[in-house]
Amino acid sequence: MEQQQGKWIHKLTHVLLRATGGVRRRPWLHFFSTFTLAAAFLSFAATLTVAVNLNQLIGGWVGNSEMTVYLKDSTTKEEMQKLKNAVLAIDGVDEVHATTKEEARANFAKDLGAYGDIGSSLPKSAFPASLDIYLTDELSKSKDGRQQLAARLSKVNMIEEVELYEDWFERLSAMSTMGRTAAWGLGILAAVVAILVVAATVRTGVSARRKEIAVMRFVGATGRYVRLPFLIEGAAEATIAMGGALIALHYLMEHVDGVLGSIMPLLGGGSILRLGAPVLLYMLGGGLLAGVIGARLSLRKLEEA
Amino acid sequence: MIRLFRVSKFFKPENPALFDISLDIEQGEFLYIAGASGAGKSTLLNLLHLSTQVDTGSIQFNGHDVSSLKPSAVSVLRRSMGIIFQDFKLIEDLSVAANIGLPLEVIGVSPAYIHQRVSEVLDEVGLSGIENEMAGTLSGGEQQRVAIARALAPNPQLILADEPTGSLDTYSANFVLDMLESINERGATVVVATHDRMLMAARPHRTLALENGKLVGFSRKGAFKTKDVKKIKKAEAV
Repeated sequence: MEQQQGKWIHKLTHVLLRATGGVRRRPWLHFFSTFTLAAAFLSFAATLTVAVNLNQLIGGWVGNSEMTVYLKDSTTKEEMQKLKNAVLAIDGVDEVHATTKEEARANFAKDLGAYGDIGSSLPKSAFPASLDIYLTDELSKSKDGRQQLAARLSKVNMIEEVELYEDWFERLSAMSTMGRTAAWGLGILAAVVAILVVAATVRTGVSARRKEIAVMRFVGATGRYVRLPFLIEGAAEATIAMGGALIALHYLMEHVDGVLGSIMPLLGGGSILRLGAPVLLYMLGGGLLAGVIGARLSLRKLEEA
Repeated sequence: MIRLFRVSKFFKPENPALFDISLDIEQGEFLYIAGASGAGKSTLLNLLHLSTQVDTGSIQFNGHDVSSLKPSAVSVLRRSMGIIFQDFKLIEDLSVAANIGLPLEVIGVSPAYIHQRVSEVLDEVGLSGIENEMAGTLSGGEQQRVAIARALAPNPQLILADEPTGSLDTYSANFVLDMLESINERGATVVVATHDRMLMAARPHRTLALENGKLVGFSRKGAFKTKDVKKIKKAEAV
């Protein structure tokens, strides 16, 4: 039993040495194919990161309120409170947040951070009091219902304007869908590129080692023993490329953070999001899988002997 | 040990590479397969090596029919054989040690044992100390000796040699034959395919003669006798 285990360990050692031997004998081929794969994976990971941040930004914008009512300058705090209670009593309204003129100015300064001073140069009318209205799920999903409520509110004397964000909703939803589609599209493209590049690299290796493979068969190597080093080579190459792409993405994000980190809050988002550990692990697994598939495609012709 | 029963192999239906060959090869025997080019010598060796399958008939190793073995079982069986080619079939861009170590690597022995065994067999073929040289840089005679060392490395029970002296000078050819006889004296069965009558005459062993894929004669020991051919042809006619 022990002898049998030792045999397998030795076989595994030989397979690994054979796999690394393939890389040592053609280092430039492997370098260029790994680099190509890493570039494809990086573009996918970067697009995914952009999509995640776009979603966050859109979520932030959408989450602020579903309807905002701007009040006339003459409206007092008491009138605003009465109006808030009245709106809250309407069927389909879930929550109402009131913002006074002073709070609007302060929020503006807070959101702008270092640029907050800009607010002091703007006229009072630039910061009207407002009510942010949050709707129940049922009303929120009904475009007609929202428009009817907006029409009803716009008739109230102290209300200057009702902002429904209809256009914004549609545009942001389209942007979000586009971002997700682009990420998926690039993901699929990166997977196809990975499979093709690994397949081409392994095929080159198989072709260059055709005689070696034939000799191995003569001396009693099974088909699996012959194929395994190539599979390991392909899988390792794609996984290393994905690892490299994720490291490159990390440094890219450091740079992006420095440039865009202070602007994101201005746009209504939080700090720039990065891909989480589970996503990174899935991506590494995906790279490995693409490598195995690519290598297997090239090894189809190496039938059992 | 090895029994071929009415074995035929057809690459073209009208022109069999081997036709109706029956043959017993005893354990520890040294056998020549003689014949001109195209007689079917290499095909017969390939059948014995299980590199190709019989179309009709059967091959038995130690009483077991190997004609229908699974590919993985064929691979395992091949590990008990050593094969030597006229063109050596060494991997030129690998070291001598890596070439000789291949069959041991496939068996799954430790790198330390491979290192030790490579030194032993290189010593046996008179090429000590060239482990790290690239196989492609050696002379033809040296390459054939390395090929023999590779065949010897796993201590095979059967050595198959296809025209092993075909591309060698007289000195190297004699060295190779000495090696094969020495391996045979230690108990291994050796089957040598050759067209070299001088060689067979100088080193007499049981000989099987092929012509156009057919068995046309035997000799028990020594040079091939034509009267055996006549006997066989007469028998075939009957």
